[in-house]
Amino acid sequence: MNEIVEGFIKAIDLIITLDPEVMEITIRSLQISLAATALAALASLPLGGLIHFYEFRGKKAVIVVIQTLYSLPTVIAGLFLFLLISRAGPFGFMGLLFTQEGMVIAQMILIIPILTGLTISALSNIDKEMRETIVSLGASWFDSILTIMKEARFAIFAAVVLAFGRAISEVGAAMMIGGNIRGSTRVLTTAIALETSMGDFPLSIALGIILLGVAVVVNLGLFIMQQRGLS
Amino acid sequence: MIELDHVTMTYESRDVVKDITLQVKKGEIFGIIGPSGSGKTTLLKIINLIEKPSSGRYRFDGSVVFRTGKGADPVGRRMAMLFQKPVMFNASVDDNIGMGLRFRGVREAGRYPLVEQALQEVGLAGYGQRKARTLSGGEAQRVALARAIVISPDLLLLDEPTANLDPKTAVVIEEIIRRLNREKGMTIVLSTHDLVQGQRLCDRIGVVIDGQLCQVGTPVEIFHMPGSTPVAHYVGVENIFNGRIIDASAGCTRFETQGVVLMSGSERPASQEVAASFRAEDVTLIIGDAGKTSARNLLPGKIVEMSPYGPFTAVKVDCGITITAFLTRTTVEDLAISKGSSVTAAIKATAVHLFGT
Repeated sequence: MNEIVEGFIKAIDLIITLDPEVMEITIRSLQISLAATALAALASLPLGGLIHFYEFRGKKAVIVVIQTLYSLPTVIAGLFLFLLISRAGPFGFMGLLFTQEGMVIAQMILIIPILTGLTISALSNIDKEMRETIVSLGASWFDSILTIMKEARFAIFAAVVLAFGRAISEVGAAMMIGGNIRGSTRVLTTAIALETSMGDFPLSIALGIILLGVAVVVNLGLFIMQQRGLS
Repeated sequence: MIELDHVTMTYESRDVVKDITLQVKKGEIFGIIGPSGSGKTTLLKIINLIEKPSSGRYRFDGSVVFRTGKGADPVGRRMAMLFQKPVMFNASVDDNIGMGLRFRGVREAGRYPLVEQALQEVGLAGYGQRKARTLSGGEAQRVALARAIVISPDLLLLDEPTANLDPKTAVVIEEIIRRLNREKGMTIVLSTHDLVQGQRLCDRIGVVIDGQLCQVGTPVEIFHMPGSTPVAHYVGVENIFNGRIIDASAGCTRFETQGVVLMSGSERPASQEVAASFRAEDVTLIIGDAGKTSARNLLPGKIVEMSPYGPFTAVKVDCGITITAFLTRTTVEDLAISKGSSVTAAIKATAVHLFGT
């Protein structure tokens, strides 16, 4: 019990004193996950829109596959990417293994299904009456899509936040693709895993508190934004 | 302005709109009345190019309309529709109203005066900066109306424009509709299940029952000269009797039903199967000497039932056929009638309408 209390006290100290290692890991984590979320959003929002607005054969099957991939185990994503970018893999020549770029790609693979799926469901929640009103008001096809996207903006933004949450909190793919190299690819989750196994609880707890703090701040921002949007 | 030619709309193997042929003239207020679920909204959506009919032809101002359901059609941009349940976008009232203008490429500076004017027209001046989603139902309906009229459409489609509104707001909306038609010459097609509203507002009315356009005519024609039994029932005609024509001479047709003969001012219908109808309001009840009345149908009988009917009392009289009369409370008191009283039901021949069944 004492160990835990002491761990907490030391962890708070590490955070308050802006311990260089803690800060470095935190900043790297944020950079990688923000980049992955931004790039995945760039790909997923139009993709979700396309799937939603276009009628094609097998559309329902595609949506089911996307939704299944929500729960893609991170180690499977890691393994899949590892095979692709390892030296012997088809993209081995790009030298992405054990790099931050490789980690960004791994996180993108994890969150693209969530972002795409939630974009589709956000757009589906715009009711028929609203679509008909938009058409009735003389919107072009492009205007219609833009207006519907705008109406669904809070739900879409929530999807982005959720995706960021998954990206920054995953550990399997980050470990396999990044390799947890100190000063290079060590992020919050991999560092917590490593430090815990090494018995350095204060550092683990400090990084854990930061990880939770990031989640709180992001969700609080989303909550405030939604409240403003709705009132 | 609008010509629908044998338009049918099938939805999930059910004909929601059945073989409708209809013309709406420029500058008129045309009402579509009918029970809920009869296809009125679908018909309006077809006219507004939101729904594509399964078959039939649609002409707007003489030219055939091809594209539907995709929006941005040049024909579609000449009309606007007010939906029964107004949709408010998550934006300011100004942005909501200006949306149609924005889709038409009008820049913000150009939109502003038009939006303000539209707000004024619907009596919501000063509401521009409010969030549209915070408005009451009546206000939202007026904003939706402003959004429809701000583009100065040639044709305005209104789906049950006052169905969800309190009577006071309904009067305001009706006044706006009348003004748009009179002052701007806007052609208006409105659907309503409120018969009185249809009567008040419309130049012509089409009755849609079960997806079919049963009758088109002026309010007087629709309410007093229904063309079929379903229409007669729908427009609240209480007295409908199937029977046969005995003979017809100039200005008078004799009709027989269940042994009772009725004189009618109607022309003899072409059909062999005939029904006679007259409104309960057109029936007068007389006690004692009926010699003074000019009504040609005088049917003695006994009152079998009296029940309240809004401000009236519905009195059923067994004259061989059961005739319903609507009397005011004071009339009932003056006549001092009750169940079992002997009365004579007097109906003018001009009130008795004959139609083929």
